Amino acid sequence: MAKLLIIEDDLLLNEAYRRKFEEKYDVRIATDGEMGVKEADTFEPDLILLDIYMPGRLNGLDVLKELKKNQKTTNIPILVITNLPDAMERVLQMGATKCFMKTDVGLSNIDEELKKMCPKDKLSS
Amino acid sequence: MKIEHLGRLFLIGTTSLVLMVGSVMLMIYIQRSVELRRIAELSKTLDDVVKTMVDKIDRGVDLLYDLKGLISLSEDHPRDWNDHFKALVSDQNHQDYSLAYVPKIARKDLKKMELEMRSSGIDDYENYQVFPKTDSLTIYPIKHLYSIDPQINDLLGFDLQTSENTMAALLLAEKTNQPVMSELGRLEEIIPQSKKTGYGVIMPIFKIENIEEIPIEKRDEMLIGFIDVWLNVDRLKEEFVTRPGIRYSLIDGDKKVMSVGSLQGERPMHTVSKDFNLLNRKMKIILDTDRLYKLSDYEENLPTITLVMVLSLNILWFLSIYSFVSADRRAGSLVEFATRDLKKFKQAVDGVSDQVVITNIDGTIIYVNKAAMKITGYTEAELIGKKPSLWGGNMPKEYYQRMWRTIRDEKMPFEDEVTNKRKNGESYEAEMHISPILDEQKKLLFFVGIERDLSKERAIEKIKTEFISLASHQLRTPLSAVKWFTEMLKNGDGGPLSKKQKEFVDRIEESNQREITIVNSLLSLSRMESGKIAVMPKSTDLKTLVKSIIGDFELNPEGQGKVFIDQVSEKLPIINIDADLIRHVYANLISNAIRYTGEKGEITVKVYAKDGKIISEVSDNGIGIPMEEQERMFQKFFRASNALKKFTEGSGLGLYLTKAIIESSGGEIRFSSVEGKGTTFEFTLPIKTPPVKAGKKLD
Repeated sequence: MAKLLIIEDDLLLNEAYRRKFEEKYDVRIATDGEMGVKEADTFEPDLILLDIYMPGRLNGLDVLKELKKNQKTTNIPILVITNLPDAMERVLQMGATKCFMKTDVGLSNIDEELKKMCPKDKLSS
Repeated sequence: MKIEHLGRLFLIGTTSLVLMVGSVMLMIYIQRSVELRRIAELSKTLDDVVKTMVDKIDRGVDLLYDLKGLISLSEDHPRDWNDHFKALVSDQNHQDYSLAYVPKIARKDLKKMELEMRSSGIDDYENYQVFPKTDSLTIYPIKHLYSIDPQINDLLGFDLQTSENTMAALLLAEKTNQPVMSELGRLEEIIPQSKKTGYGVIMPIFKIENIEEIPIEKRDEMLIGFIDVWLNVDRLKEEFVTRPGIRYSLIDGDKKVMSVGSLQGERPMHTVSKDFNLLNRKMKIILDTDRLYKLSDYEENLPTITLVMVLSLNILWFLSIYSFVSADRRAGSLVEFATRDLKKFKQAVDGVSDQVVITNIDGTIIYVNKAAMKITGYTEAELIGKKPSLWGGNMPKEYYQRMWRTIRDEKMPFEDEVTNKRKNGESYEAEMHISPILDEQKKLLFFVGIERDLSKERAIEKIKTEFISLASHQLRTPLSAVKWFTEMLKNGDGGPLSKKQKEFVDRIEESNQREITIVNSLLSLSRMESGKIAVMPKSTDLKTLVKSIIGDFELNPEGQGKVFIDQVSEKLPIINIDADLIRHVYANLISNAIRYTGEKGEITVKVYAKDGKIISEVSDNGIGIPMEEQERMFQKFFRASNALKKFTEGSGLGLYLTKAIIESSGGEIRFSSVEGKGTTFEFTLPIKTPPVKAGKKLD
């Protein structure tokens, strides 16, 4: 099973994510930026789902920067799901693979996208 | 100041007083001078007159003496006497005088004398007779007479005994042995027709030389006779220069002898008199003058001239004072006005919320307004005389180089944003505008710098941005949650749903989607209004875009039951537009069309190119827009009354945003509608993109 790291602070949304993906992926959830960066390093996920607007020392953009800096995590495909429309262009520039607006996409869209992003060898049947 | 004022007042007052008093004194002086001159003139005239009179008498006396001398030398023959007389009076001057020799004759000798005279052989004496004949023992007949006046000559033989005047004079002359002037004699006493009057001067002739040794009582015995020189008073009168306004009066003792000239009124203006002696007679001449008597024109007019001059001077002086005072006052009020205007001006500048700093051309501050002190944090004392680098100098060197180049070398205004530092060290952003002020020769006079503290604005912007970010996130996150959970529900991830449950979930999803749309609109609006939405044109295949939107709506539950007519031209050019924003426009118009049509509503979408523009039309056959409300369709939050009835949850923002997007993209939008029939919205987009209007602020 492919490993999916979800970095998102909102609990409700995390629950939705979990319910949707826990059967398909090995899901780990980080609820703030710092934790996210650490988990990315230790968990070594195959996919990352990243939120931008997060409280704490590091927000999504900082996390993205850190992930790209770290050799270990720099190549992990990152799907940014956010509510901030201005962030879209920025995150793509910074190396995110794709960016969705939370209210514009359904979970199924996200699912589809993750499948596309997933390295072929890790796809579950 | 008050003392200076008082001093000036004092000076003016004193000068005025001196001027007035001086004028009066001058006038008085001139008047008196003229008076004195007049009197002096008169006195002189009088003196002259007197002198002449005295002269005349003296000459008469000289004649007597001469005659007396002659008598002692010769015999007593009439011819001799005539010769004597003639010799004496040959001189022009002496023709005024009548000369007479009067012997003292005893009565008994009278006849003899008469006879002698008649037989003298001289024609004049042919009928010589003494008259009037009196009983007097002593007779004084005129024996020899000489006069140019024939009337006088008729007196030859006249007995002067009868003349009291003459006798009185003779008596006195005997006493004093001096020539004596008789009282004024009237010829009419002798010759009734004659009006002549005159004076006689009598000199007695004695038997012996030294009559003074003889006592007075005995002198009469010694008397031989006397010589009498007679002067017509008219001769004296001639001396009186008659002029208008002058009257001479000759007083003899206390009797007025004669008066020459006349005055206008009874009372003379001036009177001079002189007492003098004509031999033994005490005489007085009175000179009366009235207004008519004038000195020279110059002198007469002098007082008037002086008066005019003095008045003029006074008037000039007071006019000058007045004009000075009023000029002064005018200047004062001008200054007051100017000051008041200046005060108002200063107040205005002080009241302005922007910082106003005036420096001279080397940058030294000469004026700061209140706002300057408030913004920079320094007091007026700390600012005046210093340079603006006090709160500036935080920008890169090139910034200030550029600034000085613009305002000093190019003498143009400089406008830019700048970061400054307040007295307390706080940095702040400001909008700075510096204008060089030039004189008529385009030389730099000073600089006026206006700065607007932008910190508040910046802070507000920061808050806005943060708010929008926060709102974006906080509003949307729950909406996402609902969206996804309902998605999962419908998917069956929570177990199979009954038909009713599915319906309920549909409702939830619908409502949620609406909410998402509204929130999106609101946030887009906010961002547009704070300039956060940048219109970012990219090459877009409009045909594909529009068709995909229509496709989405057809599948959408919203669009069920509606008829979509696709009239999108096949030959649409690729244009540069912000696809996301334009997508929003089509979505808004189509969803409106769907919303406001009934069942089986028809929605037509037509897109074509024409005249360098892409023209899009979205028409429906729905409820239309009431005529009186059409004007307000693009207003923020406005909803037409019939639309409100049909669909209560509309935000009223859709069209406002649509219009903003189209106009930002360089296009125009309008509509036509008939209530109950339908509506057509039409908008244009340029094929050639206008310059990017990044973050255009909406009005």
